[in-house]
Amino acid sequence: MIFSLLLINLFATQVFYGDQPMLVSSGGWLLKWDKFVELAKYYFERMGFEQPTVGSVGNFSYIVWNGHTVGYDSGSKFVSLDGVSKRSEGIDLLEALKIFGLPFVLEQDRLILPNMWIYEIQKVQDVIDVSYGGEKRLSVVQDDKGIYLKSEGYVFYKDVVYRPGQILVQFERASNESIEQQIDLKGLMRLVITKELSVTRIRFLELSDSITLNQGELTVLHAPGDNRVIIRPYVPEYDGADWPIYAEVRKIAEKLCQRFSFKLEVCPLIVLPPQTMTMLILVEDQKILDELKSFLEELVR
Amino acid sequence: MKRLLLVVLIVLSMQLMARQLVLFYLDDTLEPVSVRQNVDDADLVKTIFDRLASPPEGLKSFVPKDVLRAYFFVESYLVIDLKRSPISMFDFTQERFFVHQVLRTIFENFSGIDAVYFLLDGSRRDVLTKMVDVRFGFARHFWSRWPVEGEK
Repeated sequence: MIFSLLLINLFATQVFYGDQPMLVSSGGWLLKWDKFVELAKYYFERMGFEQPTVGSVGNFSYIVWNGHTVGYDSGSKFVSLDGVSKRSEGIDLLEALKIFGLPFVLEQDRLILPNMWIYEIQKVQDVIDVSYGGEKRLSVVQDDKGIYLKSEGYVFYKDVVYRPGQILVQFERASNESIEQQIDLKGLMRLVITKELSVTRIRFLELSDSITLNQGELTVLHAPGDNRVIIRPYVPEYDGADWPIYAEVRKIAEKLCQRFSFKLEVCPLIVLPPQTMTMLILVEDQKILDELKSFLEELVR
Repeated sequence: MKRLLLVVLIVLSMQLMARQLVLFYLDDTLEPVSVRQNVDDADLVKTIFDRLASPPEGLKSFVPKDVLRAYFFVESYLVIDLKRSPISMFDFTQERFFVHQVLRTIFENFSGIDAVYFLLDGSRRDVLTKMVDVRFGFARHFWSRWPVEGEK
């Protein structure tokens, strides 16, 4: 008995969801129809994918997912992969996964399906967003050169399955930048990069000008209007990471409003990116622009 | 006499059942004016939008009619899905004050909400129409009071 169990284990193949076993098969990669369907449905559910359509017509059973069909006729023992039929005693798991476009890693007798599937990694200004399905199996590492996203599981991203410890992406990092906040929502990992403050210069630009933000500079946009200064509020998702910049910008804006009897308005304008030393001044009398500039330059000196 | 008492009781219970909303409109100088109104409608968010779209005489509002597409609560957040077409022609002032009016009114009437998010036609967008950034949430801290300070 013990010997036969040992033999089964020795020749068994195993299917893993990342590092968690999902299925042990003594028949190699050839699975019975029910086992295959059960495995597929379980995996799609764990990954948060759309569930497949499963049905049968007479002896012919089928499963449809992502526009691809795998079917099996239990009477004539024919398997159908996207309409191409061949005789088989079961479903070849490797062929079926390829038909569905599902990536996997083969390690001897182990087949590993990714437990994190990254749809997109996007860096917009000081925020890195990672949208994904499955589990969050990613960590953040930073050194003098950059910020790195490291796999902590079997992570699929851009046609590659990354094993634990492998680096997926690297972002450049300035010396005064660091990851201060990591916000985790379902299917979204958000990293917020913060910068140390040190304003030494003022730059005046018209609202219509294209904006390039420089470190250590307060960028003041101006346009004709009803004598008010508009600053951006802090962002709830940043969880306090942008408070220092908000406080600094607000302090300068308040002094400006006090000196010129302007209104101070808080509104998140797209031209005032989060975590930047920026403000918009709407000025009725364009002649006072020089006076405004001098005042601000004096303020930060 | 009994009938009169019954009528008084019904009127009193209706008054008790009704909820009072505080709505923020604007005067000619774009200063906020709060107005209290009793409502008995269970759908308070929709009622807020309907009432804001119909300002009392002498006041103005930048909230157009039929702009609310849907809304839903997620824990302490309110997600407001707007129809794009009624606001697509907003100028810079209208766009900002629409946001201020809606948020100030929402935060005044829903004490359990920490942040509001805007969607447009069911999708997340970068800007409301042209200038206001709606990629992130709007925190209670800023709109639990009118977000414009100071004198002209």
